[in-house]
Amino acid sequence: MRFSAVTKRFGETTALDDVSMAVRFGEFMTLLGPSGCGKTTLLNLAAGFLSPDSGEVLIAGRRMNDVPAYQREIGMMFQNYALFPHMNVAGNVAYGLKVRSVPKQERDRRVEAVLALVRLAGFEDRTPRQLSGGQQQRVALARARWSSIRRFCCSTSPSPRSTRIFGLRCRSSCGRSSAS
Amino acid sequence: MPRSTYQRLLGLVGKLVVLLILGFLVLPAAVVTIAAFNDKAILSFPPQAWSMRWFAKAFAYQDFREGFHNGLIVTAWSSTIALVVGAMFAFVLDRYRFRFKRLIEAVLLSPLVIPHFTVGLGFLILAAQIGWSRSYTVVIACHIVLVLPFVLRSVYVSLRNLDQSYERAAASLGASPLRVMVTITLPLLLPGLVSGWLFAAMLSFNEFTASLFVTAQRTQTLPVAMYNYVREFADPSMAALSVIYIVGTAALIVFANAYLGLSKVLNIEHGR
Repeated sequence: MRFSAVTKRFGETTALDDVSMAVRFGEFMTLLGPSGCGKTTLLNLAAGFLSPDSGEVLIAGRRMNDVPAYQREIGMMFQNYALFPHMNVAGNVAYGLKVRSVPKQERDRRVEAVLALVRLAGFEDRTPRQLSGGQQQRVALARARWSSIRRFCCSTSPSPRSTRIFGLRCRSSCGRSSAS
Repeated sequence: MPRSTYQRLLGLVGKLVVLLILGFLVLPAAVVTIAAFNDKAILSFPPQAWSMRWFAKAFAYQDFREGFHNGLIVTAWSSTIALVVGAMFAFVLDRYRFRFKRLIEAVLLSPLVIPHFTVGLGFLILAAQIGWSRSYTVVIACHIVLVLPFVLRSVYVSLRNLDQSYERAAASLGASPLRVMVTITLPLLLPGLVSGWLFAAMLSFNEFTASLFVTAQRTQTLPVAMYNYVREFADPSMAALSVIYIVGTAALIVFANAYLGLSKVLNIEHGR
């Protein structure tokens, strides 16, 4: 994923000024900085929720500026997790698979496996409100990362536990995953 | 005077004031309810003898039956159409920036400041011109105009409270805009849509001023039928009808509360 001379303004404020950077396949990168310095703006540009005023966003060599978010295959974990409040845990995790028309049996199998991996087996029927903050975070992680998505974006730093689970998964499937 | 006694007195006065205000609010409904059970054929208060006969009469009276029926037709159509139109406008106003946005918003909300009789009179003149003055269409069209601002407001507030990160999350998971709308936006907006519809329905069913202009004998709604009745008779069947109104509306709210949660339907839920 490459940002080349990307500028983004919100009215008078310039959130990103001529930013260029690259994230390699399989790389784990952390953006650090004071609040308001443009970390989230950068991630929103990567995910396709915003488009740059100038410059280019490239993923795997392809210009993504005008590709809508739903065609980018970038998992996003939101600061407030944004778990769908009208669906239970299983429904949240299965959403991305359902959208991609993964058959039900396969879907159930993968949801079960993923929930076991984030240590949430048996929580399938809970609603997001019935979960603790940490549990919500793990559901968000499971939904973002394992919904048949190739790339991964993360908006806040996951808790140590989530990082460990994430790292675990990364090692076991390094070949086809890349993280940014 | 010791401070605690003074405070207790102040608390007592406070409670009394609250009680008085609450009593004042329910006073008209209470008086009408009691009058409805009066056995005498006059709207006197308090009653000397009690009876249910005015309820029987209210139910049996042909004009009331037809008015109720007409009212349901008009209410169902007008609030449903207003909901669809209002929700679409609310969505566009909330999500997009465009020229004349302010103007469009002002026009949409203008029925709030235009008197009902003006709207009614306008539709009456128009309907007379094209010879539709006896049709339901005119009544329904008129009610749509009157309830649209309320539906618009209700849906708009829900949209404002809707965290867009849900929709973004769905999009990042590969859901197309249409799919996001159907599986995320609409279900999360449902309380706002239902409350908007209920508001519209209650307003439309109770609307009198404009309805008086646009309804004919064949299409008159219940409030208009009641008005025509009270011009000739002044017996407690009016009061009985009022009680039915109150009970019906209360039943609707209890129903909404049981199935959707009153706080949600009335749009007073504060986020998470």
